[in-house]
Parts: sequence; C-alpha cells; structure tokens
Amino acid sequence: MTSVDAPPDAPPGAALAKQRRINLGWSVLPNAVMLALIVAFPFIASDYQVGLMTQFLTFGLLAMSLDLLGDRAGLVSFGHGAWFGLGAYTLALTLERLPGVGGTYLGFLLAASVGGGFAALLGSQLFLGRQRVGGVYFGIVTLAVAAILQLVVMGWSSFTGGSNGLYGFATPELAPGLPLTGTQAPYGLAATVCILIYAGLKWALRSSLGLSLLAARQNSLRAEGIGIPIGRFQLLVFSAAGAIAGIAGALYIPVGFVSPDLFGLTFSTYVIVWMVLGGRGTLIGGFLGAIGLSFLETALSGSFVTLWLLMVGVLLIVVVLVWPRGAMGALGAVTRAIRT
Amino acid sequence: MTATVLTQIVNGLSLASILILIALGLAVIFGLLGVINLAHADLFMAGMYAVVLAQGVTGNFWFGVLAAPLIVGAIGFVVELGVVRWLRARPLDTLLATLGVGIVIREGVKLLFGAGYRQVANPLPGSIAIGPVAYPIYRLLLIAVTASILAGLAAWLYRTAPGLRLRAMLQDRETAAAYGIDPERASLVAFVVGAALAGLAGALMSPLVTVGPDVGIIYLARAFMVVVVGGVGSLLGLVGGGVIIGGGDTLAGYFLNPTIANAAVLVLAVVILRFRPGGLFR
Amino acid sequence: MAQSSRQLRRIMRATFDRRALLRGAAAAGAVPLAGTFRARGAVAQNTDPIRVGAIIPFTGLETHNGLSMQYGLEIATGEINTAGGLAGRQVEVIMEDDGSDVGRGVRAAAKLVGQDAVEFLNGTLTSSVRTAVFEETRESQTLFLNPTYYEGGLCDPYYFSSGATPNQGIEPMTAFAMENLGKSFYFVASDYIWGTGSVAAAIPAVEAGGGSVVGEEYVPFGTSDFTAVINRIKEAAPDVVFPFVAGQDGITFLKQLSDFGVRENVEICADSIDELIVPALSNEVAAGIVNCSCYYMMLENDANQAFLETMRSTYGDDALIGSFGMNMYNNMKLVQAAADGLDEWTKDAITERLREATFDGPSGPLTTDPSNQHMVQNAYIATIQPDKSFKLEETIENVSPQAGCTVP
Repeated sequence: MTSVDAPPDAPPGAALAKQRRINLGWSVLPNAVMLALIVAFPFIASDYQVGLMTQFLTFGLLAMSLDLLGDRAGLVSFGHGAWFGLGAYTLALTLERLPGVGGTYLGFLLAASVGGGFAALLGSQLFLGRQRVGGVYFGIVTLAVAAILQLVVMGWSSFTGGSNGLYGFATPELAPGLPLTGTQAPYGLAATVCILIYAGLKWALRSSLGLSLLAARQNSLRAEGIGIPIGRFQLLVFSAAGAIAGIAGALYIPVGFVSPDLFGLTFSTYVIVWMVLGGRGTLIGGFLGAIGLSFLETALSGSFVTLWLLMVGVLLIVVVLVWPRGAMGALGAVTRAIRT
Repeated sequence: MTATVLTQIVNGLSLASILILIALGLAVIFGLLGVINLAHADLFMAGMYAVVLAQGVTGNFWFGVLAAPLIVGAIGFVVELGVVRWLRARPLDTLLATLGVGIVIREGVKLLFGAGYRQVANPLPGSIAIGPVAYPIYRLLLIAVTASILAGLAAWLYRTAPGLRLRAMLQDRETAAAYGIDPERASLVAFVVGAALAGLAGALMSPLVTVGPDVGIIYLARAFMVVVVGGVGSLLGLVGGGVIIGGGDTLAGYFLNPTIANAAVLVLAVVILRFRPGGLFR
Repeated sequence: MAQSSRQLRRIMRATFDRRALLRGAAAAGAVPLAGTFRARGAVAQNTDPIRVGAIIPFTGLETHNGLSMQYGLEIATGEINTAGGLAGRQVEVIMEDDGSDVGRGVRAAAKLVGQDAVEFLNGTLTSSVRTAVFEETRESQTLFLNPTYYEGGLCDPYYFSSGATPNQGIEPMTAFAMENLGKSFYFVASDYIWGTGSVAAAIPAVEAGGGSVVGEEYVPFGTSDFTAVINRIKEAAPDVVFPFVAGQDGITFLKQLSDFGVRENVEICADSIDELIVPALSNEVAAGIVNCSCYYMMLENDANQAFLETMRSTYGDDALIGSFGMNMYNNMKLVQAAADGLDEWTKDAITERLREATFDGPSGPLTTDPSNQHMVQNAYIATIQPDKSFKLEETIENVSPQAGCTVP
C-alpha cells in the first residue's frame, strides 16, 4: 500500500456529466414534482405529519451533504451526525444566551461557521499534509472525531447539559412576532432552506469548479498529474458539507431539545443508510432516502422493531451489491427505459 | 507504591492484550485484503453467543471457545462469498455492505436468542500473586493466549505455504495469479481466518464483559484505533497499537476521570493517524 | 428460540392501523391538534376503543427490558378488556419503540399523541427519554404515566409515576446497608441524569445515617473496562459499593468487581438488580448482592401468583418481569381503578380520579400521593442467594414518595 487514498471506486458521479446533455424536460419535471410536493405538504398532511416532516427535512439535508462529500471528494464520513449535532448545539447555546431575532440569525450563522470551520480545521490537517488521509482512513478518523465530540459534550455538562442534553432555550424567532413554534413556521423555514441549498449545490456542481471536482475525484492520479490540487478540493468539499450539516442541525432546533445522541454512531450510521438506499451521487437521493426511510420507520417501528432493522440491513447489502445507485438510480433506469 | 506501579503495569498489559485480541480479526482482514470489515464488532458478538450456545448444550465454557471460531468462521465464509468478493474494486462500498452485514448479524441474534443479556461465568475465578499484587488468573491467561495466537498467526503467515500465498497476493495480485496462486481462494481464506479470530476473541472476552446482542459496537472504535495506530498489515504494528492504546488508557484512566481518559486516548489516536497515516510501526 | 417465535407472533398481531391513517389524512391542513381531539370525542364517544400509547425500548441500550414491559402492559390490557374496559370502552394499545434514544422517544410520543390520538401515555425507561417526553406532554397537557424508578424531579398535573423515587429505593437500601453491611460507601454511576441524580440522593441519605462516602465516580456509556475504577475502589477500601451503572455497563462492572476479588472484602448493594438482570450474571457474581426494589417475582402474595401464572401461560415458562414491566401493569390498573364507575372517559375526570387512585396488586398496595402524584408503595430489600434466587430480607411498608417537587 503506497497511498492511503482509496482508489477511485466506481459509480455514481459520472451520471452528472452526462446529465447536462439530457433533454431539459426530463430533468426539470422531477424537480418540479418534488417542489410541488414540498409546498403542498402542509396543506394535505396533519399537523403531526408536518412536524415530523420538518425533522426529516433536516435529516434529508444532512444526508445530502454527506452525498456531496462522497460524490465530489470520494469521502465517506462515519461521524457525519456529529456535524449536525454541532449545528444544533451551537444554535441552542446561542439562544440560551441571546434569545430573540438577533440570537436566531447569529445562531444560524454560527451553526454554519462552526460546522464548516470544524470541517475545515480537520480537513486542513487530513488533506493538506504530505500524505493525504483519505479513503477508509478518513472514515475511521471521522468515526473517532464524532466519538470524541460526544465524550466532550457528555463530559462538559456545565456548558452542554451533559448526557441530559439542553432544554428550555428560547424559541428561535425569524422576525419580531414570527417565532418558530407550532409546525407551520419551522416547516416553512426548513423547506425553504433545503430547496435553496439544493438549487445552490446543483448550480455549483455544474460550474467549472464543480466539474473539476468531479474529474479530480474520478481519476485522482491523472488530475494530480495535470496540476489539480486534490487535497484542496477535498478540503473545500468537506468544509461545505460540514457547513450544510451544521445548518441542518440548526434547523432541527424547533424540536425543542438537543441531546448527545446526535453525536452517536447510531445516528451517523443512519445518515449513511439514508444516502446509500436513496441513491448516491444524486444529492436528491440521500435527501429522499432520509425522508422516506424515516417515515417508514415511524410507521412500522411500533409493529416491526427487530424485523425492521433486519430489513434495513439486508437492503443495505443488496443495494450496495446490485444497485449501487440506490433508489434514484433505479428511478433513473426506469425513466431512461421509458424514453427509449 | 511499587505495588501500585506494578498493578498499573499488569493492568496495562492485560488491557493491551485484550485490545489486541479484539482487533486481531479486523487487522488480518484489513491487512491482507485491504477491506475494512464493519461487521467485525458483530462477528465478535456472535462469538460470545457461540459460547452461550455451546455452554447451553454441553455445560462447558471451553467447548464454546472451540466452537466460536468454527461458527463465526462459517459466517465469514458466507459473507466473503456472498458480499465481500463482489466488491473488490470498490473499497468504500465494502465498508457500507459490511455495515449492513453487521446489522443483519445483530438483529439475527436478537431473533434467535432474544434481546436479553446472557450469562457466561468466569471459568477460572481466583487470583494469582505476582509479587505483592494479586491478579485474576483468567486475565493473565488471556495475555498468554493472545501472545500464542499472535505467534501462531505469525508462524502461519511466514512459515507455511498458505501464508506465503496470502502475502504474495497482498503484494501483487496479478503476478501472484500468474504464478498459479488462486487469489479468490486466498481472499476467502483470509476473510474466514479474520472472522474466526473475531469469534474467538468474542468467546474469550465473554466472561469479562456483558453478553448481549448490542455489545459489539462499543469495541468497534477501539479496535479500529489499535489497528490503524500500529499500522496496517503488520502483526508487530498491531502489538504496538495495542500497547499504545491499552497503556494510554490505563495511564489516563488512573490520573483522569473516565470520560476525559476515553476522549484523550481517541485524540491521541487521531493525532497519530494525522502524522503517520500508515501507522507508527511500518 | 421460544422468544423468537413469540416476537414473530407479536409482529403478526400488530397490523398496520388503517383508521389512524385515515384520520391523519382527514385532519389535514392547519387544524389545531386539540381541535382534532375534541371533534373525535364529540362524534363517536362511547364506541371507539380507548387508545393507549406505550413507549418501550425494544432496541438500543435498554433492549433487554422491552419484552418485560410489553408483558405487563398486555396482561393489564387483557384484564381490563375482559372486565369491560375503561368507562365502558375497550382498550387498544399502540406500542412504539424508542430505541433507548431521546430523539426517537420524542418522535414516538409525537406520533402517539399527534397521529394515533391516544388518551394517555404509559412507558419510557431511560431518564433522558422520560425527561424529553415529559417536556412534550407537559406542553400538550397529555396524561403520562411513568413505570420506571428514577431520580425524581418531574411534577405536573398530568404526570403520574409508579416508578419509585430515590427515597423509596435508595434510602431504604442505604439504611439497611448501614445496619447490616457497613458504614462506608463508594458510589459508581453512569454519567447521566439517573446516575448523577441517584448519587445526589444517596449521599445525604448515607451521611444522615452516620455513614461516610469514601468515593464517588462517574463513567461514560459504553465503558467496558473498569480496572482503573476498581483500583480506586480497592485503595479507598469501602465497606459497601453501591453502583448506579446503567444497562450493559452495569453488568460488566459487577463481573469485573468479582474477577478482581473486590467482593472478598466489599459488599454490594443496589437498587437496579432484579430478576430480569440476574440471568446475565453467573451464580458467583450474583450471590450476596443486596437489592432494594418495589417488586420482585418472588413476592408471595396471591395477586402476584395469579399474575405470574397468566404471564407464563401467555408468554412461556421462561418469561421474566422486572419492576418496569410490573409498573406498566400497575399504571394500567391504576387507570382502571380511576375509571371505575365513570360514565364517560374524559382526560380531566380520569386525572382527577387518578390523584386518589389506589391499587393493591402483585407489588403490594399502591396509593397516589396527591402532592406529587407519585405512588406511596412498599420497598422490598432482598439478598441474592447462591442459586440466584432472591430472598426477602425486609419489607418497608407504604413509603411515601419524595419526588423533589410538588404538583403546581
């Protein structure tokens, strides 16, 4: 083993380069349907479901950021939930000290900066050195970093509330008289942010920078040969993914509490499962995977418990083996089949 | 004072041997195949249940220790043939697929044995005096067992034909194949051995810790640290990793509160990874 | 094996609830939650079954308690329905898994209250989940009954607890220990609400009784190696170790205490080691541990014998139940007692009557203390025998709960 970087293993990203050529109607239509569903959801679903959906949107955003990391930097984080946790704790701690509109905006800003900044700090250590720490080693480092953060959060109870988590911080307020309470306002905010970030990412990934990132990830040796600084690219993508995960965590705050569970291996494992089953390399796949699987789990876990987890495990194996592009890949195959 | 120091040294040694034992299977599979087996923790747990099963049938702990590597090795056989083999060119996907394998093993054990904890008694209760310090016999035995397994593994890898084939395959798959080594078979052997070692570790650890379907996971991060800190692909590195993490844990555990000690050892591991991503001992 | 088929059977039984889906769809748009409740009640009052939401850890850290809690809940439900239900309406139970995780626990509560429109909640095990669910139910004014002994501190007009408060478990235990085992104590606790809260309650109890605390220590979840802790215990040389270490870590701790020969000079007393935990311990490790609990399977009263008979005939001879499971049962029976003679089920009528409810069952007499809505109940101190059976040492009757708060 000379390089600790994973070889540029197979799939998805390549799809994107081709996608530019795909006729406009087919790429706009699914997005339009999605948009319509997200907008219509609060009007067709119960309050309970809207509240649930708000949480799941934040999970979706988190899975999206993990997918970004995998697709454009070839990295899988096994502690991505920790960045979500960082964002959530940052906003909660800010609101504890500075309630009201100012605290809300400052908190969101800090959540993004702490998420992005921490990823940048870690990334600068991992990717800019003489020997890049990528591939599976990156997975292990993120696993350990999440565990460290969880221990810090649990140990530093005077600041973080310890294992009990934080409760009773001020309700975030978007504008005077527009608090994020009930179900509608938090949903509106989460949905808007998700759509904006998704659109922004789509745009950024089609820019020349985004395509260089893709090229660098798909053939790192050649890319390095023609002078593309892979380490810096990875750092950039990791920071962006961290910032988005932080924002997702902050959007989780209307739930009313945060707990160290967010830093746990279980949560981070879930994020990976969402992304893989939803479909890697599509951004939207992980997002939809998170929402779909979370809804299924809520609906079934009362009745299925053990069998549900067993099914998730089997699905994970099968999808990775036979359908590495997940549900979105399957959907894509179907639409292509219809068109031809 | 000397007694305290001596106790700490034996504690460190004991913990290091335990960590090496737990990480062995992971190290073999990672070192020889370059595959990170995220199902390792659950194979380890399956080894514990092999003891529960064998103990239930025969009433004897040691039958369980014999049965565990066989049963868990058989699981490894299935996993290699059914999953790992097909993902050779996609290391990251192997991670994800073995994550799924781990979930399946864990939930499968729950279906078969129920979710409750199981009892495995210490087969060798009592202590032996080492100078002024009395130390549990079973833990001392574990140090010896770990050392023998390491020696046996080294002998197998460096002194026998199958070991040679494996190492040849590790160095250059194509060339090895050209010389008539069947890489598929060699990979299978490596994975089964790794799984069997995970099972054996679970069996040997079952008297010391809680036996339940969800216990594997708490050893996973630690086992990773031992493997990567020492360096992948060398048994010496594994020993080094075990001593550093185990010793560090004992030292930190003595001076600091357990939460901080835990975090400190993980930080140490990350820092080592940052500066020596290939491990300290290579 | 028997357990697996039981679990399968349970899964088969629990079919997806069609009505809940329909109602979910009907309550579309911005209909406020409370409005949905009332509309339902007005349209169809005496025919719909009363839905009860149960939050149980079937997976995660506390998995091993899941089945026991399900047993208690289902047996009580069966008895209530056979006896004509609550205020003339049958009871329908909806169980949710909290995965021993706060986020999932809160989502489970939200689903049960928001979608299934349950009349009350019964359950939660870990203190983190309970506290989070309590915050939710306090806000939505949902009736919530807790089955788990805990550190106390939760009071609300709609919150009741048959789970023991510290003075019903810890204090009798320390008092007994100081009389029979020794006067100096070492506390080892999981680093979270239950652990820290329990030690906080135990220290004054020891000091008030003239004992001394020679060490207290907090370990994070997932601790698998206690050698450093055990060394410190050896150096401190206490008479008694009183652990509040949760779940699997607690069992590992007990095993390692024995391995290192600590047990030769040190006694162990506890408030969390009952018949459900003992199967995880070998005879040598278990023997001699003294424990205080508000229920044991070995209690010799008629109600308990009848209960165990039902449990074994329903779930198999190896079925076990601990205090959490028994309190799931007790909670349901307290509601039954409160609903007795009630013509129409309303939350406030039931809550009002729960404040005066009593139930004399397998764990002995329970009476609500109206000041904090926890139960006046017996505390039983027992020693584990070499064959792992429990021998009753002392019964402290009708201990009033001190929850550390009063209902506003």
